Amino acid sequence: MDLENQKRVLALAEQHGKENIVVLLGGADPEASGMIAETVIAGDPAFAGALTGVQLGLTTYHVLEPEIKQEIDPAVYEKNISMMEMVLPVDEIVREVSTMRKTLQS
Amino acid sequence: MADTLPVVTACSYALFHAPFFTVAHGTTPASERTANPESEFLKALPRSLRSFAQVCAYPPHQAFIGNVSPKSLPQRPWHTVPGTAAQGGAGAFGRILPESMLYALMKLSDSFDLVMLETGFRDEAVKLLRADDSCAGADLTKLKDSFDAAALEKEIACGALPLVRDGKILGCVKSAHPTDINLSAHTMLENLASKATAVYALRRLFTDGAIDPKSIDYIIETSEEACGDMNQRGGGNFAKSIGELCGCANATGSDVRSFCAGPAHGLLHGASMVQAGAVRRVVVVAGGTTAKLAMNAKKHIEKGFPVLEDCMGSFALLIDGDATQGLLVRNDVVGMHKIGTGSSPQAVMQDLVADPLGRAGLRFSDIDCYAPELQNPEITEAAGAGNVTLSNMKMIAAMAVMQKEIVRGDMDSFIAAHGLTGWAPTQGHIPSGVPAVGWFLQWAREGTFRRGLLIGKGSLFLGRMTNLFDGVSLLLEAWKRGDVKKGAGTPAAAKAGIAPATTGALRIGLTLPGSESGTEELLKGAADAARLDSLLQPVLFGEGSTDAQKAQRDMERALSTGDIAGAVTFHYPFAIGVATVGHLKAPGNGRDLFIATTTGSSSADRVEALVRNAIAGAAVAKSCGIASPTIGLLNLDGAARAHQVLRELRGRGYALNLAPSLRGDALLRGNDIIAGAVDVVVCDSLTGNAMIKLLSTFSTAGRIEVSGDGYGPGIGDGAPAVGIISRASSATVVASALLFMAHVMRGGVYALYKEEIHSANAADLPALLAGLHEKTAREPAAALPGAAGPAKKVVHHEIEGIDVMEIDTAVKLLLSHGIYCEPAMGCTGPIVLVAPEDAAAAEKALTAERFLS
Repeated sequence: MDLENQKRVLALAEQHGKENIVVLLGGADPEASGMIAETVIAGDPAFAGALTGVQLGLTTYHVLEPEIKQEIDPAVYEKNISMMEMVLPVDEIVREVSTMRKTLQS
Repeated sequence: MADTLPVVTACSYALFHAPFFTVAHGTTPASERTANPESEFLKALPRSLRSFAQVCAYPPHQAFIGNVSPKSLPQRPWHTVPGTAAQGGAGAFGRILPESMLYALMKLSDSFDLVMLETGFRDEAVKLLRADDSCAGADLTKLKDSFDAAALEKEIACGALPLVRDGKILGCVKSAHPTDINLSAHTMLENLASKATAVYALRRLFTDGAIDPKSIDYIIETSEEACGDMNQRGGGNFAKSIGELCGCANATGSDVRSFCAGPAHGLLHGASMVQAGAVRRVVVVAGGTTAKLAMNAKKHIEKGFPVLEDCMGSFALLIDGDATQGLLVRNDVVGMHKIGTGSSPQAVMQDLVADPLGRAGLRFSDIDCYAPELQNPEITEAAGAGNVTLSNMKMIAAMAVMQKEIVRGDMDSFIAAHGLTGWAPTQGHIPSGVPAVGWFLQWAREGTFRRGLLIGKGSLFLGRMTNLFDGVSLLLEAWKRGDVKKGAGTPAAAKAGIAPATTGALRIGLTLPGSESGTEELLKGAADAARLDSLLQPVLFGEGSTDAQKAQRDMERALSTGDIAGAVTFHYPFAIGVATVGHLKAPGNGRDLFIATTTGSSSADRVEALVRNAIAGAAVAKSCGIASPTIGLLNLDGAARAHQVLRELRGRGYALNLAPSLRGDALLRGNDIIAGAVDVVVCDSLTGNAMIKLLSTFSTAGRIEVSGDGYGPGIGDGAPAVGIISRASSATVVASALLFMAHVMRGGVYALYKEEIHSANAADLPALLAGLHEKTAREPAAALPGAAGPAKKVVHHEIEGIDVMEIDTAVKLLLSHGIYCEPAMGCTGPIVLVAPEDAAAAEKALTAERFLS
């Protein structure tokens, strides 16, 4: 996960409280999405960024996950995301992110 | 000036194999040297470099220089493909060159004695430049100085950066200022390398295209580098510095930047300048980048690949306002990612693909080839960035699904038919659409290419000035000047009623007398049309006159001489056999809806007319870019029989896309028209006429026509290129009618109609229609005028009120009375045209036989 973004996530969590933050991912790659989820939940696995050793345990979803989709106005979703739903490996992305959430988040 | 069309006529590409720069100046290895100088990656890097022969043999490189079509690239992996003796560094539109040539060109490009060459290599460099035909005439006195090894080492010890081959120092690049980082040795090396690679591409363009450098008016440089000093870091100007070395004595120029989208912006700028008439010939050029060399080498080496990012790329292309053929840059339908669009991929693709296609009246499948980011997937996939070109094509296909042009299951076949595999080196701006131009030009020359969409995208957020994304798309069309010159019409073709497909400037006539809305309304419509389409030149007939017929006769004369390519008028009688196809946007879905037909009559026989109207409608829809229009018949008298004939015609090989109603019935109902259930609604002219009036005046309570494109062009054998509006048409409809007329003329509507009729005739249309006549057992239409009877004369007097079914019999009657006449269809119904002196006798005879009441 981008080092600068790790800093920003850490700062936001400290400012607003971990329980008040939901991380919403929009990346195209399943593996990278899973890795970012892992970073904001359990810490930077690459031991490179500000989240190294920091277990924020942030609630994390990908925008393609059904829990998020049902929260979005269908017209807005249709206009902004439906095209990418056809293009991206949705099942793999959902599996990666939800697995991280289920296995790492206490 | 408005006649000048921006046409890309030539392009060139160059790849410089730069193994030393790859190791020394790629940002990835350079960053690694700072952070982790002993890393395994840095140790492995020199071992993983390719030889020049391997670089030449690499299939995507051969595609880049024009030797291997991107459609014929072998299966991957490509980096294991062995080279053959035949695969050299010379291609149909490019060259692959070694690093020593790059060093030689950097010295040639050096205006401030910053590049020092070792004496032995200086001699080699002179030989290399002399041996390359594109460098003929270059000022080689710039290489007159040379230095010994000790002098070079002294400079390098003071901060100069070495130029190395096989471990031997061949020269160095010095800094241009003691403290200014913008003029440091590193920046100067980067900028000189970029300039040198651009100089070569531009010289190659001039040499291979036999283009006089002095004929160039403007140079637009579109690389990703910045030249300037501490007071203006990216002030420029690469463009003129490149032109100076290429003999462009009469040119000026400037740099255009937008990250990877720079070349697409440059092409848009250049094409717009040519079209505006500011300049005639523009070159768009870009050199390569040293920073992106070995950018993903870590991943490549991890996967056992050689370092695939070991070449700098460059290109140059010519936009020629005096071209006779090439790729027309359709500046009227540019796709632009707007600031307010946001950065969601879907919104970006809407701006860059769906919107411009919509404005051009094209479907996704009308684009032969999409050229989005054309990165070599072997490089990007191994680096974890996926197949960039394929990802873009998937998004385009998904957009086509959303627009209901294809079904989801057809996405892969759509991508296979309309996409390409990427082949360009990952030099940022270099793969951003432009590598396709060479192939588009070649395929256009071969006649296998009509239009392509070039898409350039840029990641603006990298500069930390904005989170925005960027992109520009340009529609490029195979174009030949053909018969359309300097706004003149098509003399011979117009007489025959056949206009060639063209995208050139068009003079379209408009008659003024007789409008219920007033001349001002017509003039406003003409002005609006000219404003909306800079290539459309309205030509007015009957200004200051009230004689509508004289205006129409003048208009006809201008059509016959080719002074105008088409015309728009109202209350105009067409010969039987000609009917107009109207166009509007379907209220239900905003899609193009063609009404075939709306005035005139394609046949005196009702069923035959419906059949012929379907064919005419198909031709007009195709001229508007709809490759396979869906056609539906409105449920009217005779429609079922006509549908049967059309089905038989289709069964005998005439390609006709008959479509059902929304409910699935064979024939359409009124609501299908509103819904836009099909592309072409087939009906008789009187019904079509009513439909146009109903739809165009709905919002004005029937007072004035304010929507739609009028009643459309007359279609039929020998039809004049005349489009119809009504006396109640508003300025908006007048403008739309002129634009529509220009659009169908550019689409080659009359040639398309001829093709359609030819295909239909080949599928036994005459026999099917003859069978129709036998069954309906109507009055035979044998004694048409011209076969015998009174001598032909000019007929202008209109006799109205005769039933369409009786028109042939009425004509026969008058001929038997020795009165020359012609049947025709006016806007309000069938008419018989007679000479003014025969009018009284003709009306008397027709009344006596009860043709008239």
